[in-house]
Amino acid sequence: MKIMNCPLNGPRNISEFTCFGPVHDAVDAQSASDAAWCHYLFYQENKAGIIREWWRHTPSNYYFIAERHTVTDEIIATYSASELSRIENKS
Amino acid sequence: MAVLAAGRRTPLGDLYAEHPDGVPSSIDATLVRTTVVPERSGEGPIEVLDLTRYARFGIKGKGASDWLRSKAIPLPEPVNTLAPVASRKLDLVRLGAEDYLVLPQSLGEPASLAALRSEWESDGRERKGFNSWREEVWAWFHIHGANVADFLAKTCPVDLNADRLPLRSVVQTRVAQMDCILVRTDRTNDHGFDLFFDVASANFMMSSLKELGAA
Repeated sequence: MKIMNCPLNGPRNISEFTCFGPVHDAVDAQSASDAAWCHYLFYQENKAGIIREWWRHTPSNYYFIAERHTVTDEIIATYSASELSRIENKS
Repeated sequence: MAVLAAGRRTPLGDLYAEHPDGVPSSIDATLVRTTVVPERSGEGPIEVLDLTRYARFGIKGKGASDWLRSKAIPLPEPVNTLAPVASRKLDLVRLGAEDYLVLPQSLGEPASLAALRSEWESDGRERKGFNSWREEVWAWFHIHGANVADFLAKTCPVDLNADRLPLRSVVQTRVAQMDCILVRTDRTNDHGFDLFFDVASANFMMSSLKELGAA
């Protein structure tokens, strides 16, 4: 069984988690065009390499961020969503 | 309250119907006890108590922590721990930054829990969390026995041995292929865990534990 580290609950079987897709900026619901909505809802960059994704530890309903390599499926890091802005400001 | 209690049907629901007030008179007289692993040479039994019909209260969401602090209730630190609140005869389980489960320290004495709930319901402030209806949506079992950690290892991926998981620890994981919260309470003075899980799956949980015990 593959093990994933939940920032709240610690290392757990991957079967306790659900992936909620890549992290990307939300559109402005008041001003977004139809094309922008379509892009937001249906477009996936599908990058080969390390991406940031939303994941949930299902038993505790805890959402967090994971960095995963889409080629090797290796999970590089997991952290609280509250750390996302701090990390993005650094980079 | 009586309507809700009578309407609950957990694995031993027919027995619940005998106590329509929802408040059993004592732990020994009315508590439903099921042996899932019988006593064997040198090893005590593993038993499951169905506590579903006892009172409990959950609040979660923004403002829940501040509301509890405003009532001088110390919050469990860190998340995934239980802290007794001696002044109110309650146990407070912290499941998230703003997610709490409140249990009575004495199962047959729900007055202190009802008082806290009444305080919360009558409080008019805008942000005080929301009622998560733990008494309605979660079944509540207690499983205990000297070898309970080894027994649960058949179906739970987390190491529950006493030396790894101290008293008042909380584990949010899976048991019997279902999401389940385990709280080590040792409430019978034996090594034991309170299990909280989807009440609609209570029959399945009990059947699974019995099958594991028979295997």
